[in-house]
Amino acid sequence: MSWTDYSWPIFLTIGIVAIAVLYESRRAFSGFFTGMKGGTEAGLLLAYTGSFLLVGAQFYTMVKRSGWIGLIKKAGGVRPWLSIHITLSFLGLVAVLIHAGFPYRFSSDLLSHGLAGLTTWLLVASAASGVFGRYVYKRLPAMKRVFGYWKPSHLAITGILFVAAIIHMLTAFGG
Amino acid sequence: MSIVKKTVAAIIVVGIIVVFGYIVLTMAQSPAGQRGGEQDGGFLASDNVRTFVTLGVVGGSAFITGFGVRDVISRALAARKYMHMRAAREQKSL
Repeated sequence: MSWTDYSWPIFLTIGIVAIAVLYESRRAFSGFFTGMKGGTEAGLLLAYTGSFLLVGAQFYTMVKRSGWIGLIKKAGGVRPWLSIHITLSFLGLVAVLIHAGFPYRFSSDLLSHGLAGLTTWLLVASAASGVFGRYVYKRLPAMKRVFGYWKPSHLAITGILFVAAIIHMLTAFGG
Repeated sequence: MSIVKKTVAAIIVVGIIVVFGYIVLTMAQSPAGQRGGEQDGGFLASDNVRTFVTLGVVGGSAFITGFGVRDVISRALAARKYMHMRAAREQKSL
């Protein structure tokens, strides 16, 4: 028996503790994130950086789908690009969530302020889908069928997220 | 990837995060930063910066989507060609 036999309960416990700590820390860090939300200068910097990180993360798709073997080889193969995709997506997620009002609450309704709430929740859904995809990917070929369903769903969520984000960028100011 | 390369990459990423975090925190705690760009017409809320960011995001995502669409089309065409060839081969063998 190794610790991996208990990985599910271990990760579940760590997750619950992390959520509890985060929930309680809201009081301790009260005011810490105030200047980083929405349309403040720091908030906009986080939003812009997060957006570029999320776009940069999609270059994984391009390297993977590129027909130019030379380019793929030059870029170090497809495998490290998955790590780059996950890292950039995670950093972009954190930056955009802070801009959206995390850890207190997301500051807008779903459709108000240029779809701000919808964009935020689509981002969360896309990230959750990505985590699930990584889990399935690790278990290929046993979970090939699930992966076949997951891939178009993840692409669709991400596509809708980008459309919503662009609408948010075009309409959020001044309203 | 070797362990040295991984370590160097991790140090660079953490370094960038620390510097960026410092910049954001400094901005967030300054009175001008807390007032916000949107209302006060700050640099990051200016039309030039907004246009640049929006065009960057739209352009980048359109470019990558183009690659995806091209891949989907070429796969569909390849599958169609394969089916045609298989049908022709089967007809020939009959």
